[in-house]
Amino acid sequence: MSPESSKRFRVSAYNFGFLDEGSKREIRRSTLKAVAIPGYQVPFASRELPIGKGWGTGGMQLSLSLAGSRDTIKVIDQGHDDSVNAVSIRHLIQSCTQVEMTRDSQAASLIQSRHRIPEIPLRKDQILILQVPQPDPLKKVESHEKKVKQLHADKDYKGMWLHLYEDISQWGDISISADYPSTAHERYLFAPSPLPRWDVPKLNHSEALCLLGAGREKKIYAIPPHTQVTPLAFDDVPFTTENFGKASCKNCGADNVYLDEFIDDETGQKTYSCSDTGYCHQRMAERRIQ
Amino acid sequence: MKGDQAFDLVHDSQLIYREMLEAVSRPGTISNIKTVLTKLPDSPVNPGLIGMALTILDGETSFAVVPEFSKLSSYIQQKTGSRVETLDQADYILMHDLSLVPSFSEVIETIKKGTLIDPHDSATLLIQVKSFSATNGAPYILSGPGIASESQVPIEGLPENWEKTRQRANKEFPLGIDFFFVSQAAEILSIPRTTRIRKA
Ligand SMILES: [Zn+2]
Repeated sequence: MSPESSKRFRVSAYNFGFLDEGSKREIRRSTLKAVAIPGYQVPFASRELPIGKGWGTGGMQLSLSLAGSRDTIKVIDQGHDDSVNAVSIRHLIQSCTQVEMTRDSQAASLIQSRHRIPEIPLRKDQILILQVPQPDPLKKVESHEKKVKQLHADKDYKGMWLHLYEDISQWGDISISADYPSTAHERYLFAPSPLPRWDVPKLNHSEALCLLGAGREKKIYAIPPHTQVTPLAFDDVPFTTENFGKASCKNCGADNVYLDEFIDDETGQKTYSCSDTGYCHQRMAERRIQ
Repeated sequence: MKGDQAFDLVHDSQLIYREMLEAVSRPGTISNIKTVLTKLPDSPVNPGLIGMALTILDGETSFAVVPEFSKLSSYIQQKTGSRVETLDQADYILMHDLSLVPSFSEVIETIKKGTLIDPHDSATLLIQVKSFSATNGAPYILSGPGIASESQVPIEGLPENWEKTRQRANKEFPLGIDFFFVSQAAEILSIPRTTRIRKA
């Protein structure tokens, strides 16, 4: 190779996206594999990031390996754009990519989230990135990594079914409120991350690609668009989402959304508001215009 | 000015990755990485194929070139640090001219499909084809994850019965192989192991 031809390569903006190019390439290779094998956890060499543990280093690494100058990014934490976590993550992404940030889910091309999927259905030109603390539902029934991998290899999910059965025997219903074990493409059991049950059906035949990253456990997995996602359930105890009855949001009036419950200290009365604050603010703004 | 024409390892790789991700997420969708066409003037083969290789290969990966083409192998080695491996061990298989491959099915049978414990330890194929032109290409109907119901794609330049060879390699999901095709116009199209194919 002549020196002239190697000069034709350019490496600009050193550490664009904080991660070095080698780290990004590895995450990208793992992500492409993850999409090809829906729900299967692809191992990757998770990197240290200058954010606290439990702040979603898996999601961050996915976002940083995806982001480019054409992107607009939204960061949400438990439905909020303005929590300490969301603000820190947003700040880090912005400072090392100069990518545009937004609170409007519809304006975002990448949405990094913890614990929620936005209420407004995602589109095909959007990618949802979920932060995952524990990527393997089987860790509830088997602690050894090697054995867990073998169970996935054999599609042996008896332990998980037994776990659910015992739950029903004890509580009369499935008591799992978040991170509901589900299967992807009728093959792999996967953890949808600590979403409420409300959000799990949004992954089924979604228009958007969903990528899940577990930094501490060093795993990346994916639910491609238009992929079957089935929450585990028995015929006589079907999967159900949270039921808020006739409650609606005290700020914007929305019903048929996932609501946070508050109890008034003085009156003891229950009030509700949208968990997805970006959605709530948007509805309030629209109503003021009208 | 000349600097702006060069392949940018940070930003061009990011763009190509996103197109590859889009392609594998929605099998049969045609994405394009045309930006590379003018940026890799010293490519020994179509810049589209090189662009994908530069985006995902490095010293942590291995590759094989089929049919053998030392100019291409050494170019990839020098630019990415990826190492040449035998066909049965390589992570990435680069096929730059299918018309010179004596037996496509032998290649497919040889390359790694992963194991039940590590299904991701399988080969990914980067294949140069002529075009995705509706007038010249043989039409295939795809279904499976990433596809709402069915999508029809024409691919020009694939060997007869390639889809049956592929089907045999992918019969035991999650084991299997994933394809990225690139046309002469630097459009890309992916067919991962989950996609079902039939001839239209
Ligand atoms: Zn509201």
